[in-house]
Amino acid sequence: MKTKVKISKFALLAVIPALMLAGCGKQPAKGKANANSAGADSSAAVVEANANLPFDIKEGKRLFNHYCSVCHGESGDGTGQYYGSSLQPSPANFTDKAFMKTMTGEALTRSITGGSASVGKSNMCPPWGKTFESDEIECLVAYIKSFSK
Amino acid sequence: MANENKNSSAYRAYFFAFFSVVLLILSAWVIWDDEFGLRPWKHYQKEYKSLKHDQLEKEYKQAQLEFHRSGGAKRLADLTAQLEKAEAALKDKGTGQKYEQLNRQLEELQKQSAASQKQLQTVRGKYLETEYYFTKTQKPEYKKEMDALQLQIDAIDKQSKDLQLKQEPIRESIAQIAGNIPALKAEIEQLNKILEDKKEKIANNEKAPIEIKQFLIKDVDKADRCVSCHIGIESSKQPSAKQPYAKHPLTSVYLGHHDPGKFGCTFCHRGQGRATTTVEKAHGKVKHWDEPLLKGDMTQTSCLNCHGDIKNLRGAESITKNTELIKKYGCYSCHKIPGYEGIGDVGPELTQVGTKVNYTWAVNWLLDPKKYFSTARMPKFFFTQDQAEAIADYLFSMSGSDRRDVDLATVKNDPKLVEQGKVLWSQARCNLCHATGGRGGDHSKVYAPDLSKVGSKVNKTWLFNWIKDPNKYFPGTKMPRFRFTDQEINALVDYIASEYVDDEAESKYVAPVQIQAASIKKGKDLVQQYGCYGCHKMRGMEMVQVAPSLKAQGVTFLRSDEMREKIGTELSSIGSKPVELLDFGKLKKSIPNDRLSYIKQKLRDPRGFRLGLRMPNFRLSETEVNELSAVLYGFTDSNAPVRFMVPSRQELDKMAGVQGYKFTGDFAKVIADVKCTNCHSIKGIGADYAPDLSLAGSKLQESWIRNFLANPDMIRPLLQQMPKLGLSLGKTPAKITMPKFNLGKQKVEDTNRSDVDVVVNYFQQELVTTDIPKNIPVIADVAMPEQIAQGKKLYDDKGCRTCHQLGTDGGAVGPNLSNVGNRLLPGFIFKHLENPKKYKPDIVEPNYGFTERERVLLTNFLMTLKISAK
Repeated sequence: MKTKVKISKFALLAVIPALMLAGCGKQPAKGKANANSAGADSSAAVVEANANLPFDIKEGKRLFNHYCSVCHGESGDGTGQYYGSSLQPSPANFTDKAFMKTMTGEALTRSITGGSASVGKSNMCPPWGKTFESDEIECLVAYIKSFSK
Repeated sequence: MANENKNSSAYRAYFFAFFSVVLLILSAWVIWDDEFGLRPWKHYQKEYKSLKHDQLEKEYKQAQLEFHRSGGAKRLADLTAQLEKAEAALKDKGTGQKYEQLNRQLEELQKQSAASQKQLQTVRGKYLETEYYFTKTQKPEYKKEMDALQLQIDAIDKQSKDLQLKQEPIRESIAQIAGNIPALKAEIEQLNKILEDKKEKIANNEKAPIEIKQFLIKDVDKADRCVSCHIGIESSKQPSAKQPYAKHPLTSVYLGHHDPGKFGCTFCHRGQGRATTTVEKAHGKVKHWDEPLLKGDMTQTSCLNCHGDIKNLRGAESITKNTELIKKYGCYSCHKIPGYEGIGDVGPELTQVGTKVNYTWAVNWLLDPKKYFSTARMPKFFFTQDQAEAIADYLFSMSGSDRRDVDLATVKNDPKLVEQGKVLWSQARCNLCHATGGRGGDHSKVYAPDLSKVGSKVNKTWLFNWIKDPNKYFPGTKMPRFRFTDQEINALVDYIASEYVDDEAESKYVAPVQIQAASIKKGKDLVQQYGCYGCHKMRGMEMVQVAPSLKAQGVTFLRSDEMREKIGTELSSIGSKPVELLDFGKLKKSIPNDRLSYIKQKLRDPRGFRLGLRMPNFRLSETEVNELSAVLYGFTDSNAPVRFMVPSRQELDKMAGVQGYKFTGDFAKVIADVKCTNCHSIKGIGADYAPDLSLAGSKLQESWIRNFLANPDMIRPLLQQMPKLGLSLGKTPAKITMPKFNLGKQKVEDTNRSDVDVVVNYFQQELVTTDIPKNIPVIADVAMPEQIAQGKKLYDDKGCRTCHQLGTDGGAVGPNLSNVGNRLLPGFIFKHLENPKKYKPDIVEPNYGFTERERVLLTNFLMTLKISAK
């Protein structure tokens, strides 16, 4: 009888940590599975993918489309509709991989901030440093670089 | 027995050994879990530290290279040599000893001075403390103590001033003896500092403790510990763009205006700010935590918590765009939504609809609006044929007693009038608002019906009356009155009736059929049940003349007091409604049980949760569902403190007891008639298609306003109009100008003044600001022709032609400036060049940072650009 009692005490000792273990088991994994099971159709997936673009790129795109695409084109290839056909030189083509290799992030930042004239080019691209905050220019640079990736 | 005992004790020993091991493992596990398992942020902070170390190390190396490359190192060596030489020279001269002595004296004095400063601080502190007690208790002993302390302060103050004075002559003698030594030392120190600063940063990074970090917002008892993992959120240069090390995007906008020390994280991002044990818990993605983390564009939904006006709010672009959907679909018609009160009806007035449309069309429209037009805003109510007919019967009986269709085969149109009507159609720019054949119309701003098939929908008599005076049929409509002559209206009507017809239109009731009273009653119940009057104005039975034949059958209409309550659930706090209160019905098992999923599903399929729901299906695209749900999610019982709140202009006016801006006098009549605010915004009223006219009187020249109103011409390039109007017409864009309203031909109602006079007068009296000067500064030292030449040079040098045309040379981003001297007032150009965004926040033109002189020169040049009238 005595042993039995003792054993059950041991068993109790073993059961408590076992319960603790079970209790502390990785519940989040369960939560994950739950979240993933949410049915999503394909159009929702597209929207989702768009929503998951890095913020800098999305913000850069918004700014680019509003301020830059008029000359550089929404596809970044330098064929914006509102750049005069008589004007020379043409706006930079950001999809040109060879050209973009020569444009580091710093060079782009300088060119945007001070305008094309400030980096020894024509005066056709105006200076944006007093219009944008520096982190807005960072977003623009990130987006512009994404054209040649 | 003994054997048994032995067995049992061995058994016990094994047992004991086994559980000892288990206990040991458990203890180890407990310690491990406590140290690492439950503290994942430790790992992140260490990782961040090492990333930051690498970054700083790299910067240091670069700085070193740069230091050598730019000659800094050489200069440092030179200076050190010079210093040594100078010091040696000092020794040689025999003044070395004196120099050192003086330096020591100075050092001693400086030490004393610092000590007395410190003392002064302590005594002042004591004084303030005593003063506090004195004001609180008014006990004389405190006053006495204060006086004593004041004496002490004065004494110490005097002493430290003396010490300062004593230093002066010593400094002078040092300077005399030492020559350039102090200057050399200062420069050496400065040069050394460049690299030492970087080194110090590395050292500081090493020293940074690994600990729980938090933003504590005391007044709302919030502790956001997100920064324990998102350790670099406030850094200006992130060592890694990977989460959780990245910095906050667009810091200047978000953190710049919302100091995290005061706002924390979870007011905007939700999530469980106090949790630090797992990512899932911290991000609130666990059961019983109703507020999962918001990220990306979805976070902008939180702007709605505090900001009353989000239009033009930097950083809230996405949510601002999304809120347009509320207006587009008129959610506020059935649901109470704060901030959306008093907006006009989304649907047209229906009391007289029987005089307007064909009966068969009405029934088909009720069955499925999108079948008639894919762009239709009206949702599908899933009526049966019987129900649709009953509702149509109810509506038609308000203005007659028959089901009746126009016999389209017998409609005759005069070819000459049709030709004339076509010209008028394009002059009046009907396509700006109304789409036809997939072209024109921007439904996000001015919702005007698609007219592609209108000839088979409405009858010609109604159309004539409508164009003649839209306000008469539908008070408050957005349709302007164009001041056509009757002959012109006839021409337009014939053109529309012949051009825009529906080949598939049915006419079942060419021979009219009497409407049955029973059907009207059924229709009345349906109208009330589904709340049609939420979107469509229907005057109550008091206002409607019932046809005698129907009256005899006891037909009645809804009374005014039986209509107009919001038929749907109030949405003011849907974004914070507890999940348990959301009725998932039969979808409980098939969709995630969280608030956002509920809202999205409700928008996708409003009646899918269970039987008996009334909300119609708007057939939104998945993008629209996402956009609209983002807005709804932002309608919360905000728990943000009052100090966060940025009330809207409207609310501020209300609080201050000020009436919102209202147009007055004859100008109000012109606005109500021509609906200028469909396109122009004036003092915050209206849309942003066309230029804001709030300051038109300070901006535009009178003669130009008059010419333009009589004969609108294109000023701005298509850039600003095309995307807004959705008119993509291929390579040669059509010219889009303000519609020709035929202004100036008629007097304003009840007055003797022409509408153009009224407009010009109002512009000059009301729409002005003293901010824009009448006259620009005068440059006295240069003659005018030279100033103009200099202005021209600036125009060329700054590359203005990239965006503006003179003649046909230049880009088409901004307005053509060939005639700007006739159009704008010089004060406006002068002010505009200072900060273009000031008068048009979304302007593309950058700020060039011109000096005042440059702005005067440019203005003087631009004012010479005129095209003389022929």
